[in-house]
Amino acid sequence: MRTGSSVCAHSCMKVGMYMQELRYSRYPIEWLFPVVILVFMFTAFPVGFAIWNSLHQIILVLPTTPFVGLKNYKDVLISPYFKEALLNTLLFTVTTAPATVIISLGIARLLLTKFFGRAILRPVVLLPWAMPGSVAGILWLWIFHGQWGLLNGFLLKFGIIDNYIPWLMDSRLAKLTVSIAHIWTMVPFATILIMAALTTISKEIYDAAEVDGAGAFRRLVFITIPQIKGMLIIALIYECIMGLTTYDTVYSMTAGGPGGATTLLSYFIWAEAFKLLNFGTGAALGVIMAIITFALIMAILKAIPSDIMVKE
Amino acid sequence: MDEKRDVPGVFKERMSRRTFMKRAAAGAAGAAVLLGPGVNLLAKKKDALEFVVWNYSLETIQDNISKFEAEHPGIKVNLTDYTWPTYHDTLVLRFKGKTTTDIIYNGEDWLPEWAAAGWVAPLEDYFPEVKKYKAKTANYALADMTYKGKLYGLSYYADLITFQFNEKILNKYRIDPPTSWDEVLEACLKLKKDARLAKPFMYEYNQTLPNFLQAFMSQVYGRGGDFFDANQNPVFASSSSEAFKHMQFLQDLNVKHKVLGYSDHESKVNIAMNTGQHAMTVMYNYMLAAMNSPTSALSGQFNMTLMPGKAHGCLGFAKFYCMTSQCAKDKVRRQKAWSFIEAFGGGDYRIAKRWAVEKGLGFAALPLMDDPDVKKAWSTWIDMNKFKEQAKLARNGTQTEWMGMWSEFFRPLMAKAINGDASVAEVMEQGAAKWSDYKQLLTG
Amino acid sequence: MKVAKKVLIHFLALVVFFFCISPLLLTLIGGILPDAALLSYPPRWFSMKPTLAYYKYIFLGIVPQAYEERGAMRGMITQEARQIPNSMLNSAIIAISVMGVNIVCGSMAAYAFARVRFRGKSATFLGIVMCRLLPASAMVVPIYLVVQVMGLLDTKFAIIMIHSLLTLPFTVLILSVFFRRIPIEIEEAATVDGASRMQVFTRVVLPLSTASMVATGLFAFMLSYSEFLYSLILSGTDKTRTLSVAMAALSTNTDVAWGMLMAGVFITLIPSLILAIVVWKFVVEGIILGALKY
Repeated sequence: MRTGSSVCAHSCMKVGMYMQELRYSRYPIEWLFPVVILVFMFTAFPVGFAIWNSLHQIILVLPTTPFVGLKNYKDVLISPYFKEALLNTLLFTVTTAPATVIISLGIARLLLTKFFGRAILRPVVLLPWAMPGSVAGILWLWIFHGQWGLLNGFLLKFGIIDNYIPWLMDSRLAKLTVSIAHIWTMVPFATILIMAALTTISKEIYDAAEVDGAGAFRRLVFITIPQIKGMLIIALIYECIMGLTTYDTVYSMTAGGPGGATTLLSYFIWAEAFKLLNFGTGAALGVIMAIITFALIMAILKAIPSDIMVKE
Repeated sequence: MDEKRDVPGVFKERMSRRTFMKRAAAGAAGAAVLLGPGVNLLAKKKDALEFVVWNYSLETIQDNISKFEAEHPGIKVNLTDYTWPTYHDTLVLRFKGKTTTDIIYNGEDWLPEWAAAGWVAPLEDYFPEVKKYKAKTANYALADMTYKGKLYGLSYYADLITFQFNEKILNKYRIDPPTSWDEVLEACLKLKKDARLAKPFMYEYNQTLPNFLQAFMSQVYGRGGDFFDANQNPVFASSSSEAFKHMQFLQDLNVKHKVLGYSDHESKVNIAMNTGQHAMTVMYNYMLAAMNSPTSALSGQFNMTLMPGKAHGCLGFAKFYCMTSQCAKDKVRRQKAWSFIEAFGGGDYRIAKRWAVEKGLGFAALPLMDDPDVKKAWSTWIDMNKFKEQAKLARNGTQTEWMGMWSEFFRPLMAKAINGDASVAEVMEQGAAKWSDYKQLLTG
Repeated sequence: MKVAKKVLIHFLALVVFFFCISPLLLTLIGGILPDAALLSYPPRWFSMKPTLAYYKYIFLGIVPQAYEERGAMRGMITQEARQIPNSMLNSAIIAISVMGVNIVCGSMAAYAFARVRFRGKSATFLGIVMCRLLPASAMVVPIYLVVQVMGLLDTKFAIIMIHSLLTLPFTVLILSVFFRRIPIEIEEAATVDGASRMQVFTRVVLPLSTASMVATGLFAFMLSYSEFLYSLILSGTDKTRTLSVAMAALSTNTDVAWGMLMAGVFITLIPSLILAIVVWKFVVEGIILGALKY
């Protein structure tokens, strides 16, 4: 029998129960079921397979696969291409990831202010995302090609240059152009993430700051960025992972050239296994890259504390 | 703390467990429904021959297949295709995963490694009648299709890597087609000065493609040199070898004289040549047909000549139809596969002729060299006599079980050397060392 | 001051607009101008009339006039370009399915991580997110083997599964962050009214997170639409050939004119463009709803 006060007490107890989820619930399997099944089914075996492969010598034209311990890892680390590819990949990641996040933050902020034509700009910003990396690479190849590229043609026509610039034949220019192409493909996703995050900031905070006389820049640095810190970090981590592992765009522009200027580690994992027919070193390289990625992510998380990783 | 005891009344956890089991059962049933027909479909398809190709001119292949099926009722052929750059790797995956594959396009540089791995079957062992085609096949093609003395297939097409140039430009500046690489350099410098061409020599520069090495080898053959001696030992590390000298030549062409231009694929070389900004290149011979195609801007201006160098040799190679080991194990399948391979790669060579006439693809079948239809079709884009002359001087490359792997290792080094990022001596030494390593490992 | 700010904003908007759209404008122009003009040196881009020949070929199979001339070499055009509409359909179906899986399963998992306290939470969460550490190309062979053993090679289902595998870790991570930012008092209020966890989820949390759900849904769609590696190895016939694979084949095919390639690329952008325009409406609504609730 419920009197008014006991109803209140009952509700308070329930709210208390909700809030004090100190008691562990049982494993919410029905919420997690599809994701867990899919991920573990398709990850447990491949990861185990990769690690097993990395510890054995597996050259497809040879009949046996003896255990060789860490020899594959050693072979990878001392091979002539590893150092250069590693430096290229790290440089590539460390420049494109922050650049993408910063540019996306700017664009996201822009898209939330009212201006004429905003409705058109919004879908357009998503377009680079809609094409496969290799196709994007071809378009940027067309723009930057040294012999029949559009940028060169444009600059020549308007008298800015006399001779075509070898965008893709010069080592440093090639690095720059593939970075531009890569950033172009990555900006839409980061923009969306940051836009969605920006919408969760309550207006009152901004109003209070404006009353206190904070200018646009101060508002950005002291309010906006801290409020969406979590999402910025996720975006940064995602861009790092992409920088370390994709190669479609880059390779369709330069095929890793000129020389080894735009050669990335991600290509070699595939090449070791399928072209050099050495599944052992291919797997070893994959594990090494996983470790590098992990280290990079940990470094980011330690450097910028936030609550995105669930703790319990 | 008892995690099993739910808080009563807050969330109906118990209900959801039953619901969960219901949903899981439904999910399993759904999966069975989805998978069931899938499995059935696979069973039905198994009778057909699985033919795997790279995606050159698929509609011609499909048409050929339809005609074949009409003439051979009872044999059905399923076509699967991959792009050329991914072909080798995807096939490795297919073999490793034991996906049903019966007949494949095979290439000269893959045959030893795939035969050693036990993936392809020697035709000669199962169908000795294939030997009658040997006499009618160009020698470089025959060599490419043979492993450990046995013939593994019949040719799809065979071609040369030749020296091609823009005849109109060379004529305009009164330059004869070069007969030596020194003349090539002279021509480049002259064109750079008089014709204001920034990069007269266009190079297909792409370290991820096998033909990057093959084109280089072809040029070395022009000089009369080779990479390896009769015992398959590397000779190119010595600075007096032609290979060494030519690598240095290319590096100088690029770094010292700055007359070399890069394009990362033959289709882009085609586009570049058709801007009229480049005069010479080295490519697969059928690209001459592409450059001269009616839709190109400078159609008709291009020609080929004998590879510059003392010997005027060049690289010849063959791509061919090959039967897989898994197919050879099944008596019925391999009989069907043999009918297919003979119809496509042998017989009266009508399919090879079709490729030659319609697409300008080269051929290994010697009788076709004098076929009037072929001659007529080819006269629109190439000097047939020059081609015959070059074909007589062609050799195949050195094919070993580790050539593919070594090529993959060596090409980035080559790319560095040509770009001037490493010295030719360094690159050649590393290449020779790795070759010896592989040789040791695989023949040890 | 206000005017200067407006001008600056519009200028920036213009810069961003051209930065994002120029390669795409290029595909539009490239698909209708003849090669000879497009790739000329010195540039004479507009010296020849535009033509719809490439589009006609892709959709209707009418061979462009230029190929009919001169008789010889008529065969130098490939029917591969005609595979574009079909592969576009495949890609769209797969991508929409992946989007669905991510929105439904991903959000549920994310909510569990955001609000439920249970043993093994950290381990499960880290397990899901960290599975993306190992580069995709290193997992090709085992995944291929698993799919083959299941008999699912050359099926859309397998590709949908693998694409979901590639996208769910990020989806779960992102959505868990968003769900935790929702003030817990709102959910408690619903609980007081007697709602079950599922009802709180569907009636309170989801409407408040429209913007982030849309973002993750779009992410899943776009990643699936443009994914190349696994679409390549898990397919083999027209039935499952996706757009990225078809376009890759086209781009290295010597028989394909540059203009034809550009026409193909432009066509492939249409579904994404439509999706983007349609979806932005929901984002806008989500923003308004979200802003008011706070």
